[in-house]
Amino acid sequence: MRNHCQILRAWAIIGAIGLVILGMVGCSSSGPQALNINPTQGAGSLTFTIQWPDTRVIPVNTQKIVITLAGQGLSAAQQGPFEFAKPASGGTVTKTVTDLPVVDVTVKAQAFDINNILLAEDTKIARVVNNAKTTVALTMQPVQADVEQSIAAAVALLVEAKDLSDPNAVKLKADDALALLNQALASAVPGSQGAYKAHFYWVLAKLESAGSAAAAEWSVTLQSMQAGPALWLAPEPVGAVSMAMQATDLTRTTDMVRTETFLDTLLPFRRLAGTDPAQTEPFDSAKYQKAVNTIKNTLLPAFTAVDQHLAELDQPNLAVTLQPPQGTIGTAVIIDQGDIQLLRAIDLLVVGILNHTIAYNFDFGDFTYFPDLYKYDLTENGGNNDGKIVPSEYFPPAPFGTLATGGATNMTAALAAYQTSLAKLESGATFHLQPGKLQATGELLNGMDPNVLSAVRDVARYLQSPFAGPYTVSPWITGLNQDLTMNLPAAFNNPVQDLRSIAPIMDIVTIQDGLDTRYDVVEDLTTIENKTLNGLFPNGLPSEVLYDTWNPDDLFGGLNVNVN
Amino acid sequence: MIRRDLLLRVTSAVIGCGLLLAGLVGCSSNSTSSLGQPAPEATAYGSLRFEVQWPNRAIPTGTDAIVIRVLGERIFQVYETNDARGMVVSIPYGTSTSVIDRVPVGAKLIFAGAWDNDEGKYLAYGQTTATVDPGQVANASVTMTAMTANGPDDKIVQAVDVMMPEVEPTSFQGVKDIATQVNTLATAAITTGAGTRAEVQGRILRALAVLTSGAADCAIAWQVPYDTGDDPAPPPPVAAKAAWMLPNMAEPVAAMGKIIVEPEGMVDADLYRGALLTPVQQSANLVQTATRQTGDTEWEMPALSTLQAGLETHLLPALVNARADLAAINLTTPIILPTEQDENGLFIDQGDVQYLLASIDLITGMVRTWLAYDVTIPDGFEFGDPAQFDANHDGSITPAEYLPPAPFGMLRTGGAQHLAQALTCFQNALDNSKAGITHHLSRYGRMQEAGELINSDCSIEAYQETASNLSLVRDIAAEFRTALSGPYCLSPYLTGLDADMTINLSAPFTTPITNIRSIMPTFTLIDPNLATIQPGGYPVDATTGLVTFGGLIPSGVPTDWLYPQGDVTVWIY
Repeated sequence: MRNHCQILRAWAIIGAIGLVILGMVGCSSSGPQALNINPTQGAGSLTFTIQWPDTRVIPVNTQKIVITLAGQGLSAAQQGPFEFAKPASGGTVTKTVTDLPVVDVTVKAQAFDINNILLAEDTKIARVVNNAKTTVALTMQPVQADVEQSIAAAVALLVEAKDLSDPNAVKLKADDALALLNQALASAVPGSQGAYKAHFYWVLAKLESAGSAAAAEWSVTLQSMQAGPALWLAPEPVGAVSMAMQATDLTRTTDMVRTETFLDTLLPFRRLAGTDPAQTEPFDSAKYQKAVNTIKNTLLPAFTAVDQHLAELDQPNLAVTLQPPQGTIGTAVIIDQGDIQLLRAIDLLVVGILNHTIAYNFDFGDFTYFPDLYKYDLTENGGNNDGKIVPSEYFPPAPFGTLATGGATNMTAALAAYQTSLAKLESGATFHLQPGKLQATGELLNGMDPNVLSAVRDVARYLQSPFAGPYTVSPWITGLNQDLTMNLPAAFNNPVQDLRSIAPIMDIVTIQDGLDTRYDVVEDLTTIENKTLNGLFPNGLPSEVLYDTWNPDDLFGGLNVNVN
Repeated sequence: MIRRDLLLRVTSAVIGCGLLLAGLVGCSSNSTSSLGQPAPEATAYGSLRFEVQWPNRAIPTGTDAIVIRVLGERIFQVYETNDARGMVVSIPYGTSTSVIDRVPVGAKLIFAGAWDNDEGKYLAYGQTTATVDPGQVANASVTMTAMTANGPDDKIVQAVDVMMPEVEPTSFQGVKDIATQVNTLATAAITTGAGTRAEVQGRILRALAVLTSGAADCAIAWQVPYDTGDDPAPPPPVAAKAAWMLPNMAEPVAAMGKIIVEPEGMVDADLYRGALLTPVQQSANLVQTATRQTGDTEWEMPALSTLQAGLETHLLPALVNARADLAAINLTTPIILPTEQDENGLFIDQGDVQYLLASIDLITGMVRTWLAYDVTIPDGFEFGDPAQFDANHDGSITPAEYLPPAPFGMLRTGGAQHLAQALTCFQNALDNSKAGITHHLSRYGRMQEAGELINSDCSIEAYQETASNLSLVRDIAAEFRTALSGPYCLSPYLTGLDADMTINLSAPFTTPITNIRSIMPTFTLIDPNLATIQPGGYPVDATTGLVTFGGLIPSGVPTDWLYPQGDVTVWIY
């Protein structure tokens, strides 16, 4: 016990350190009868010991330490609060809570002065293990009044922003909140509860700022984005992200969707995509460039910065209690590492998509768009009527389809974001799939279906392999009749400079439908210049994809042996 | 009609070589059409042209024709036709050129044989590979190898003949005698044909012969009556019984069984002698075999300890030896194994060998697991009414009461080694099945190409379904392999729990419990009159304090599994 104190003294900063050693000892015996328990009843006990040091500095005004417990199935009596008054002459005080379920328990310790002012605190998550002993140390961090005040003021600004519909006004509030949170971060002790809270609210404020900025650029009203009264926490970042995405959607519905549709039409996968290529509105190059700039200058930096702050919170045993802001309705939530990892997964997914989106130039300019691609071969449209169309005929002129300035960097960043996103999704979900986690008091994801969460987790786990290097995709996935080797990182790290190099020549075919004659195009994939699509298919396109017109009846019906 | 299966029936010595040129000339057009014209045909075909120089020193005197079989990518067996595996051309003497139109593109395997019409046999043979590319010409040469009597190839043909004797065996000893003859001939082929295809053929046949002999010994030891009825009911395929462990492995294993073990549709029913691996099937499916009626004779199953002794003494060594032969095979190009069942022979590639290895590994793992624990049940001990076990009338039935007395359930001497090796066998079975499937899925149409051993159908529907299913089997096997390597996470959507659960399937094999009583529950007798009981408690692992079933569930069995809602009634018979 003495050694524990000596080790933990090293953590003392400014004020004093309180030491709480939690020894969790299972209470059950080894007999079969002892295991005949009801899961809703206790299966273990938790003992914590407070040793009041008599030789080192403690907060001079500390008069008591209050410990509270939270976790699935804990009764009111088990949750505390348990108060420990400072002994007159120091020494050790012990308290045991029995009949605890075998779950994770969030332990929060707070030091108060004689006026009940909070001086120091810490929170940790401890696992109650049946018939085993675990030691968890809580390092009491002094509460920094200036940090807490800055955070409270920032949160108040974010709450005020909820009532505003003008995105410029929202942005002002969010930027002010960011400034306050930057101050808090400058003062807060790294790794302290104050620092954690400041980082978390910084993320919310940044998303709100970027989202409202994007909304302002595109003149989007925020009225419909207001949060529901019962959700004081989630709607803010979600609303901000929605603003940003809606701003982007403005471009998608006019021009970018056209671009994507065109690519769907262009590539041989268009039938799989099942998209309707009919887009008749003129392409607006200025609007397209504006959308690219919004992504490049506003959204992408924000989402990238958010991950940096979330990374500060991605710590084992993280437990940050966030109280509902004054004037809001809700209950306290405890942010754990799993929550942070899931948030990082979502944030990085957006980072990947945004990087991906702006990597290539898709500015149609004044190129005439024909959803029916065969029309590019018609003489009246400038074609040569040779029965086929080549990429230079059905592609808008360069720079359309070429890698944008910085596009290679965007693709590399997108790959890294996707890879990390999948890893965080897996770890965050796994964190919450520990026994009792999803059901814990204050859990952000409380109520989530573990079946859904685990299914998503396992998909994320499997997807990490394709994003790591060469990967064999099975026929039951592709519908092909052989394995298909893909190398996604190759396509990201060495992107195609010009999409024309992976576009096929298309043959124009006649379709006789009764008295009607229609025309369509059939891709001749053997004409693709870049056979591996820059390493995406290291072994080339599968044989059956290249030659997919065979059938056995035709084969053997045509078998004809001539002997001379 | 020339019997092409005789291509491989004449023994050989390399006394000459011939050169056969196969010129591959693309014939399909790739013309373009102006707008409004029909679509051009895809360039997925070419033509094969063969030129033969008569006479040639490598083409033996007496050769009346050159028989050429072309197998490979995109050449599929004609549905419901047994004599048209691949493209076959017979080039009569004096003919200089032969052309096959519309050869699909892709890799091809070309077999050529010099046929003596008077003697009704092949005088020389050879094989080569070629790739047909659209619109391009490829040349391939086949080196002819003359055959000699009583050489290694001839030994193989003799061995195949022995497997289908004119006189039907009337006992398992007769089956064993046949296997012994096959073994002797195959061993001679292996010895004298080292480095040739005869060695590979010999190893496959010897492996099957050794398995047959070992299984026959088991049957003799267990006094299993030999079925000589006119209409023997074949035992269930081994795969069907293995399915309890690896359900989806059944397909490739069943395919093997269909072709090698039970060549349905390829043999006249009157000639059916029982499949080579039938005794293995019987041995690997003890319970099924034990309860199966053979004709009018019902076999009384021996004591479990007797079955165990038979497996250890006879079958296990056979499995080990057979595996050694198969493991020594590394085919870079396929071979043809002659059979009497199919005049074209079996087209065997490395993937097929790995399927065989997987089957043997699976059976070996099961056998070794069977051998790990003592199964001695004293005379007079019977499983019956649960109430009878409550000797002290305390309302609970403990393992000491309801299990036969020790040594039953104790780890046998050498049992730990058996379990450790069983784990390796199961892991190898999964690895080999994965590798075998991957081999067949590595190239378009490899699994369905003409002559392929597991070729089951050439219809498009079956083709796609099989490729999809096999790949799913392979990917599931990969997950099982991971699970057999150590702690493995089971997700809630699999278990129905609210949280992940970790299992360690390797633990019972690497750190086996020494007494099964340490994992057996105590039951509470609910109603002696109704013979109903419910579990009252499971032993707690001394090192973890949890119910882990010997480390199988290292973090402990979820309490709601041990004590689910509602009453659970377990019957003991």
